[in-house]
Amino acid sequence: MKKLYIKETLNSPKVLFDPSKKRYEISGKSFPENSKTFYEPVFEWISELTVADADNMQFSLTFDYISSSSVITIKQLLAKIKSVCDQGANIQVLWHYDAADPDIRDIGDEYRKLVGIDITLIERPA
Amino acid sequence: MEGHILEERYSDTLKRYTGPGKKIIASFHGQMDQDRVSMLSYAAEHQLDNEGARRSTIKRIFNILIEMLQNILLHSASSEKNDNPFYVVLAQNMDEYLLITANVVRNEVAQKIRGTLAELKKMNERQLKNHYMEVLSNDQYSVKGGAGLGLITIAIKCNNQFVYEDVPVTENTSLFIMSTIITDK
Repeated sequence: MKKLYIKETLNSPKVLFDPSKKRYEISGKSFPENSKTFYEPVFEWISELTVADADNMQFSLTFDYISSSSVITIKQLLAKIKSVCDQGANIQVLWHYDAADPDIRDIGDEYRKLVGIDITLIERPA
Repeated sequence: MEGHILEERYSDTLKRYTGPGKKIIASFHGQMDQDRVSMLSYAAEHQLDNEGARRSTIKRIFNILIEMLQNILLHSASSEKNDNPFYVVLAQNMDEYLLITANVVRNEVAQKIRGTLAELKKMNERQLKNHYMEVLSNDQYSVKGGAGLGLITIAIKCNNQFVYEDVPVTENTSLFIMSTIITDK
């Protein structure tokens, strides 16, 4: 598995998938002009995951803001992760949200219902 | 001609929110591009913070502003990338904030947006939320890259307190103006 790093910008989050450190994180604000294009490398990276690679992997998602088009793309990303889980991998998804931001918590909760993936909601102190 | 109407409306809007109990917090008139979306959103966030607005209100305004600006980015009357004049005004009127945006769109686009907004306007909070979940579960993007979720998000965040109008500019284009009211609660 290769390392994937995308630098954070004003409108797109940092992506760091580093197998050598077992860190798989996306964090920041997500409102790129084209969310499909922005998340394409992330989709490709997940597509290459084998069940053995992905077993016991922990994805940590921390968003300060998600635009409506990113909401859809991230949902598709979670569905992609779920398809690896369905093949037998044990993957944990941690959804961090600011205590003062119930909207981000709600989006995590909506994903849980819509994608059917196990997401642990974690509150960060305000 | 389109520039004339746009500037006239921009100047009227600025005047309307100047006076006792009213205040222009941020405003901009010019060409739209993605950098502008980021710049204006952060500027508005910073300004609201300085004004002492509640954090939850700032987040809601930031959210609505980005959706409104990205709608402008998606729907321009011109096919030229650098030809999308617009304006945005963030104003305060007593304990309410108003976000007003306007840009020139093709008449068929104005009609489509009007139709969607009219449908949303009829919905109560629960129906809006259900509709949001329904659209999110379908997750189909349109040719323009949007999925209709943006307008629903705006309606939810401003508790359906929005108005819109389109002013004819040419035979084929209109100035589409949308205003949302956000209560500082």
